[in-house]
Amino acid sequence: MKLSEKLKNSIASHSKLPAILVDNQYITYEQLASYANNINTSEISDAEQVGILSYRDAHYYSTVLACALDSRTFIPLGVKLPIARLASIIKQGNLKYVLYSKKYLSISQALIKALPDRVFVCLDDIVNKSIVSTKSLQARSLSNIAYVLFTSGSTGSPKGVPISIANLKSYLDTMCESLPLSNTDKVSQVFDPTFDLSMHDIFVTWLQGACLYVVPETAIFAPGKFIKQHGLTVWFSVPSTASIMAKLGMLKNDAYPSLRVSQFCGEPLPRTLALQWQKAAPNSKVINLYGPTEATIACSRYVFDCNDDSDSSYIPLGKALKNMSFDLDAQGELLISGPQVFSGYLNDNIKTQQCLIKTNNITHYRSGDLVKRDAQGVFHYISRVDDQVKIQGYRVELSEVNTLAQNFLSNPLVQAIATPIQQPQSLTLFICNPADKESEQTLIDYLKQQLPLYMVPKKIIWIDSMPLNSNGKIDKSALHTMTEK
Amino acid sequence: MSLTNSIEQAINNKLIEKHGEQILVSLNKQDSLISSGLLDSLDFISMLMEIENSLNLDIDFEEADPVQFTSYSGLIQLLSESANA
Repeated sequence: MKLSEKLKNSIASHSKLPAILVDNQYITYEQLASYANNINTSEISDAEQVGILSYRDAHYYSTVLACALDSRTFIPLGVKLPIARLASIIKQGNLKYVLYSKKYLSISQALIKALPDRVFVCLDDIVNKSIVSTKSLQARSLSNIAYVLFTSGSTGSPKGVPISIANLKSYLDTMCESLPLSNTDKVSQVFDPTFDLSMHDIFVTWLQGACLYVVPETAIFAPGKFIKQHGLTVWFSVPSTASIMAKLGMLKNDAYPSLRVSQFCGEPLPRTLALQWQKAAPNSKVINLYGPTEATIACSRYVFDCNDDSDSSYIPLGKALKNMSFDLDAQGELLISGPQVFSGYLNDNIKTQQCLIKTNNITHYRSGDLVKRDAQGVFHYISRVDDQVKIQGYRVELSEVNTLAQNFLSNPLVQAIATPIQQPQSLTLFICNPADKESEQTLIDYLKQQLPLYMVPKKIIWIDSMPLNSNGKIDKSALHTMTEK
Repeated sequence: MSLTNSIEQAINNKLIEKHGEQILVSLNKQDSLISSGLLDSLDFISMLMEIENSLNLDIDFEEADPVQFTSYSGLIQLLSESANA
């Protein structure tokens, strides 16, 4: 059955039940579907793809549902991103229509100035009113792409990852089978719309008639009280959130007895943290998920066992999900194949050819992750093959930051690193040639105009000479040592 | 110096370090330090850890509401309370 059909069936069988709690309001499946229908019959009705400029509000979720029901591609536009980056995404995504929440009127006005040929439609005007478009409803070609997400690109501009409806359906079928939910389940939603883990929350919940609990912005940082107050049964976040909760004294033994499933993804999960979470949520399975955006949300999982006496400091990546396969190349890089693997980057054949390789007629995605397989066939993460890092779960290509800073300063001796090395939380930028030091603030201002905030270096360190290794390349481990002093 | 004063001093120091002396004049003590963009979550946590260590407190925010404890005045109140508990 098609994904849109499955969603329609779920809406029909759960119509009077709450689909979502957002901004202190429960919305039933029936109501949410009527919002979605209003969007689909508005002036965007013939658009094959739309951008969504809203953030975790009822409009955002209604639009995602609308697109999924009507086989329309959606591109979440991060409301915290700089205008220049948003404009680049709208152009690359070939978006004629952008749907925005009134709250982000000023961002949309700035974008209209930069892109006068695009149509900006205010969701507040269409979601609640059923105004059938005056345009004659023309048959449009259904898109086979579910969504496109943009991640950090090494050359200085973001790269688009299109995920097909077939990719998404394969993932969701596996997840609904391995994580069956009932219509009494209360599922967390903390991820940013531009982060693909949010797609898991939304669709796994709605396909099974459960209720999505959108954790308010003010509580995301420390959600302990929210989990208790609503008696959430399913949790999903990056490990960083759990680690902040631990520091705030929010992971006491038996704190969250209502949780029955807790999932973590996006960055390595420390064993001590998994154990702490397990004790705080004693009735919950603790699951580590792993996977790049290019292979649709996650492609391996590991169920934590607190009696496991392994001495590794991180929880393994686990085994490939059903229908997916993992192989290693000669260097130990993880190659991923199966129906969740995407077909290539948006408008970028060169990068696509670099990451998708065909052997014996099977397409493998080169993950860029060095891993090892243990005797039980469980995969463990070792390191990256390139200079991609994760900041609180967000992918960052250090070379994207380096390139922008180098061009701005006209100085090639610039290197960003993620610190602290064990669990990176922010970037530190090293710049050689102290003569430029007065340009520090203008550089930071420039980077803020180009990059998401988590990619803007928190600290700049000016050095007299750049440490080099025996190959004549910048010695990043020497830079890490300097930050630890 | 009383404990409350020491906590206030430690928060002031962090804000001054990030934004300069004038920040204390314009500060709205009821607003969330994080939502208003004065501190990000990492700054906030590292500040808490510093206060916890230097004043030998045991931070327990298990029942606390982030809207309250991320504001200047809410944080001082909660930390003072957790020290007296």
